[in-house]
Amino acid sequence: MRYAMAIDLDRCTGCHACTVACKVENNLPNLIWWNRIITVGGESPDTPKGNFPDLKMEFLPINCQHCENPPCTAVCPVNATYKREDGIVVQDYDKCIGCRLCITACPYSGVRQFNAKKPEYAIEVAMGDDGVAPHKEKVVEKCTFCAHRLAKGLEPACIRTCQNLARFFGDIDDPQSEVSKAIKGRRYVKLLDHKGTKPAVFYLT
Amino acid sequence: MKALAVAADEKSSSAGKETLFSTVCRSNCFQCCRLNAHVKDGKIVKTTPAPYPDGIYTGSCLKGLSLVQRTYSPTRVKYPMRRVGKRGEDRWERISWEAAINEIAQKFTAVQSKYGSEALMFDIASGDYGFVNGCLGMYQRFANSIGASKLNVCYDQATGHGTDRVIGGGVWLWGSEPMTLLDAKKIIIWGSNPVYSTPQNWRIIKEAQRKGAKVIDIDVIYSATANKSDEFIPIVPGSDLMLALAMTNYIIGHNLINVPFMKARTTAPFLVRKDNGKMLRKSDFDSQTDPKEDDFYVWDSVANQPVLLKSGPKDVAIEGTYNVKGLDVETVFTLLKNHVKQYTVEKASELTKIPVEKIEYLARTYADSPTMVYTNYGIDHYQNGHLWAFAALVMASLTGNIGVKGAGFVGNYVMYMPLNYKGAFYTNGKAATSKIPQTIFHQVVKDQALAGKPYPIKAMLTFCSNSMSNMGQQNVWFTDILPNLDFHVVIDFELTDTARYADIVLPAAFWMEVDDLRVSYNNPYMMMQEKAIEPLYESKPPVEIFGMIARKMGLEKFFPQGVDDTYWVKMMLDTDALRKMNVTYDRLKAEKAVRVQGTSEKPYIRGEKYFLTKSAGRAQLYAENPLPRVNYGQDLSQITKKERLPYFKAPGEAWRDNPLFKKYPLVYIQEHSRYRVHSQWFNTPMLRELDPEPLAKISRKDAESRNIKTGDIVEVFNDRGRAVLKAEINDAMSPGVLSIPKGWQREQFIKGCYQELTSATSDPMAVNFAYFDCLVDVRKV
Repeated sequence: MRYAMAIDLDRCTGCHACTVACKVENNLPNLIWWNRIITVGGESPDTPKGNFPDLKMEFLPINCQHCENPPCTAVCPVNATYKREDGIVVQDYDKCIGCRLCITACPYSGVRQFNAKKPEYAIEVAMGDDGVAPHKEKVVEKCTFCAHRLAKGLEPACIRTCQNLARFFGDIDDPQSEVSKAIKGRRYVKLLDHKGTKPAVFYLT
Repeated sequence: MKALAVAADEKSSSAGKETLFSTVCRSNCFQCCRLNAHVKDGKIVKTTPAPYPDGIYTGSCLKGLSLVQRTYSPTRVKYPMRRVGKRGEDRWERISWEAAINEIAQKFTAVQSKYGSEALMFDIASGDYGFVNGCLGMYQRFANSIGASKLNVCYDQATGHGTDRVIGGGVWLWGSEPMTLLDAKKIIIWGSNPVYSTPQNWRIIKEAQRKGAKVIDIDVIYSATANKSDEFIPIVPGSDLMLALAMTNYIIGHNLINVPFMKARTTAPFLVRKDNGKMLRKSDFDSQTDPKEDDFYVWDSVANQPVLLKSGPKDVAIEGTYNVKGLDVETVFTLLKNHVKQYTVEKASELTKIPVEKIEYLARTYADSPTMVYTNYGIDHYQNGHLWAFAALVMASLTGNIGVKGAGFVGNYVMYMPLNYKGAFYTNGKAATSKIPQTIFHQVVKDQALAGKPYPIKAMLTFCSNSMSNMGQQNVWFTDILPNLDFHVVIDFELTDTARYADIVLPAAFWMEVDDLRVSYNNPYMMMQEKAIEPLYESKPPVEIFGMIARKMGLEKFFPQGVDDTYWVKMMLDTDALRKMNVTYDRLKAEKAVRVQGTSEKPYIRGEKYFLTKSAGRAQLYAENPLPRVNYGQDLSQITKKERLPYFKAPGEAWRDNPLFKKYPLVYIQEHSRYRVHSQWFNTPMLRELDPEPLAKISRKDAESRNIKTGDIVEVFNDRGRAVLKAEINDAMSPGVLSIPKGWQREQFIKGCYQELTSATSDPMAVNFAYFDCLVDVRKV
């Protein structure tokens, strides 16, 4: 049993439905995004590279890669971040001392975010699911694969809200799972695979 | 289909402490996303996509998913406000509902009794598609009851004005159901960026592409849609019309036409009199003909003689010049064929900058039916937009690419539903008048006259509309409109540009705070929208606001006190036609979304059986009597005859032959971004984190020649106005094109506004804002 995610880059248009769904579901504080879209192309978001009209652009949604060999857990001095048996790399806010060694160790820049100050929210209503751990000051936080939803038998918020049907999730050890079926017969890349992290996110190309 | 997984999720969620309410996004993006509002302790905590019976339609973009922040927006209008400073100064006093309603009713009554009932203008657009509380709803009951004026909307009208000439159906009924895209083998996306502007349609295009359909994109920008298409063909802005005309000429010249289709389903074989340009009819020879029984002559090619269409000739000629009882006539197709000969692919290549071979390839590809065209309102935004749509529909009719499986036009699919318009919107025999198009509104208010006759306008009520931000040539509000209006009321959720300059602002309850009814755009459903929470702060449902004003003006009979939204929902649904369709309140309440056109197996194809024309239900290749969309006294004498056939007319401003081009060499477009629909969501906090400020997107070539770098502050300017904002070098832009994604409000610019630059000049037939038909230059400041 190991949770994994697949993202079909042919279908992904960088539409931000997944990033916004994540932000709402997890009531992320202002300026915190556990899930982001990187444009592989020009210098600014949503811009291509090349000379008009011979241009290229690709969108790369990035969240915690939930590595099989997570560099972050190895450096955490207080065991605040660790890998569960189902493969999810979690972050325990109560144990985290905010040293940010995990951020330094993680090769996927930006997936771990630090609440430098007291979390601030744009609106008074707490968004999303109350099963999400409350956000705290001076701790590191990141994608949980929506563990609170998995506990209820639901897929992560980004999966069901992907309007381009580009995201798949499930147990990679189960050949019948959505994610296994999505990967089958497809070419894929894993980000920075050469670093030996063995990410659980498959990018279908 | 994977999308259906949402249904399981829905059940599981509702088992918790949350209650789910079925709602639907009601903005005007030409999508219609069904959503669940998740409510906990009386508060909406999130919105998630709710399933449609046909799963391919299920989904929502980031805007629908961020509605919780729009609902609880910190900048929402919370209570009635009266201006205390100068207009636009943003100084307000909080007033009671009673004081607000008293003042509004008193001023409306005073204006109407002094200047006539039409001196009160209703300024309504498309901010909310509810049939009770939105722009299709009960404000009409109020406006009609008091015989007010209503502005004629000039947004997105040109495409439909052009399609109407060919297939009828008015301005809106031209598109097929998006699911028909799945039957297409080829899809030409023409002047549209569905990845940004209609993402629910894009999902279906993508599905078609994965099934093997080839997707070709024609645009001035290398958009995210171009990026995902199989082929991108860049084109000079505003030259799409010439491309369509040259393709048509090539198709005819190379005999790629579909003759059986033309004979059976178009007016190609109809005969046109050379003396007056009218169709040859039975009544030309028999003056006693009942107009309802009149018929068209065609040439029976077997009997070699003229016959009436209804006589059922075995075969008809589509080409030829004949003499019928002393009248010289020719077939419509002969007339068209000779007319389009002037539009050679070489000429088109010169104007569009598309290579000759590519135009020929496009023409052959298109003619090899079935081919689908996906379009919306990009080409519409030039002064020749309706002629492009006219030409494109004629080309479709010649090639059998319309009214059949796998072909036609998709982009805006609208359904006419037989709701109780008459009973709900008309009460005492009075009706609002709608003679003034938005494009000339500033002139009418300034002159207090229309077409030389007095037409006082002293008070205005704006609802479902941020008109100042969305009508072209924004500065006319400051020079012509506002100084001549004595009293202006705005009903809205947010302090938009328009509300900011109002005299009184009333807080509207937001979409999920009312019950309502919606007929979809771009999917085949009618939907009940359930009130998920009570109206926040002091806001009220718009139908109740209109009721309060109406009662104060003595119309309690038509707006009874104490009724709720469902009273009006039921009134809208109260027709025999709907009951016959089994569309009832109870069914909508139970099923939430009910398919009202087509089926899952046979999605709705526009014009499959017949077209909505007066030419025996045939597609019209020739517009015998072209009329303007709205007649406000404009001079049409020079163009009426010309407009019978699609012809090349250069864009009014944004064209290289225009002398102004030397001064302002950049074509200025205001593309849809992912983050806003027109100006809605302009202030949603999480979307501002993703897209914090206005950007002027400039091609590398144009930026370098002006020494502009990404991040520089620039002024985009022309004789009408300016916008000062940050620049972004963007290689997606054709050299010569500059874009500021639309919808930002004035206060979000360093100076000026994107809408100051655009023009209110419109084509006299289409009477439509031609936003992209606009020249500017840019400089570093």
